Amino acid sequence: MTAIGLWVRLLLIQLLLLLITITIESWVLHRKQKWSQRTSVQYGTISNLFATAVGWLVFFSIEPFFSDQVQKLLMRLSLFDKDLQEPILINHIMFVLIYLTIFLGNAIIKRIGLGLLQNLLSLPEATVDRTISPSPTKIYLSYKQQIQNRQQAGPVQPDLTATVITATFLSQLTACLILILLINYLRIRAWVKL
Amino acid sequence: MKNIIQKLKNIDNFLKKKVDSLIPPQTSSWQTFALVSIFSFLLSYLANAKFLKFILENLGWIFAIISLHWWTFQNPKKVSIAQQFFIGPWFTGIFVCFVLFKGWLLEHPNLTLIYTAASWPLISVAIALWPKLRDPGVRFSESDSDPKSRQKIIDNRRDIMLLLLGNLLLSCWLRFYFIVEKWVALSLSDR
Repeated sequence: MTAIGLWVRLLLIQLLLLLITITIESWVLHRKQKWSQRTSVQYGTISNLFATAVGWLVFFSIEPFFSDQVQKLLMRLSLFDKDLQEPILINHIMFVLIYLTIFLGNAIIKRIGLGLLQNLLSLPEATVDRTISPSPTKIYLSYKQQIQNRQQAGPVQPDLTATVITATFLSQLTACLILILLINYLRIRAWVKL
Repeated sequence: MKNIIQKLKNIDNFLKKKVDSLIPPQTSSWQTFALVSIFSFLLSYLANAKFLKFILENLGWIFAIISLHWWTFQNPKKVSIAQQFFIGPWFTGIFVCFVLFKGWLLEHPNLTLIYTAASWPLISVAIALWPKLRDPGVRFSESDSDPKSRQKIIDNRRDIMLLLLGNLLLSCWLRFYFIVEKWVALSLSDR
């Protein structure tokens, strides 16, 4: 495997995952945040590119501190079809913890990016100011009262953070599924060839 | 004998075309900047003070960059992919990279390659965004309540963001190649 072939393959995989992620996230933003399709696709694209670029910068900043063992592990993980005859030994708890950190970091960066975008490309539908009721808030309200309040307040502005976490969860799930399918396909192909 | 004369004539015609293309049709044109840069290099060759030499040489490079950039805008068909996508700023960017890192080229060729790969898209995007900050502007003004011009500014901002982020990603991908190369060398040395 030459370096350039491996590089092109990794880039193609990232491009595929980016496209799928953008599609799913813009769909979620359109459904949950009630933005127009055009706006949601633009916002999804820009926030995802932002998150990916920040992720690459973080990778480059921690890359010089990797030991040879970690580098070899990353190399073997990125090769997919070759060298998988012997199992790759990974500490599973460590793996899950690292993945959770990456997931949360991705969601946080996307939320920050969307907040910046809302300020920079200020659209009238994105900046609806909520009126604060002057009456003191009751801790407990009856069900009827809650429904009445909701009808008085009009359509509720959905929470952006919850939407971003949902979108990130869905897109990461799909990305994981696609990666697992890809690895299994390549392994089966290599096995059939043998 | 006749053949040789014909060949010499061909070379002469070719050189004449090249020299003719360098004659400026008007005062403000890319040919003027090219001639000024050539003149500046000539002067830097003749100058004997070190400081003067340095200044004249760098001015020559700057004029050459301006001339090349102007040329790309004069002939947009020659520097576009599939006659459609204009890549003039990226064309200028690689020349700017060469000018910036030319001092290290002979001493550390590998390092120069890495620096060029990492900084080429970023320099190019800076060149490409320069006119975008001007034309419809990126700043809202108080009197600007017309929704059409507002939308124009918003579209401009969005374009700027997409260009910037896309090129940042591109530079990261180019930088990543050298890391992959290192990994492959590591795995090969292991066997």
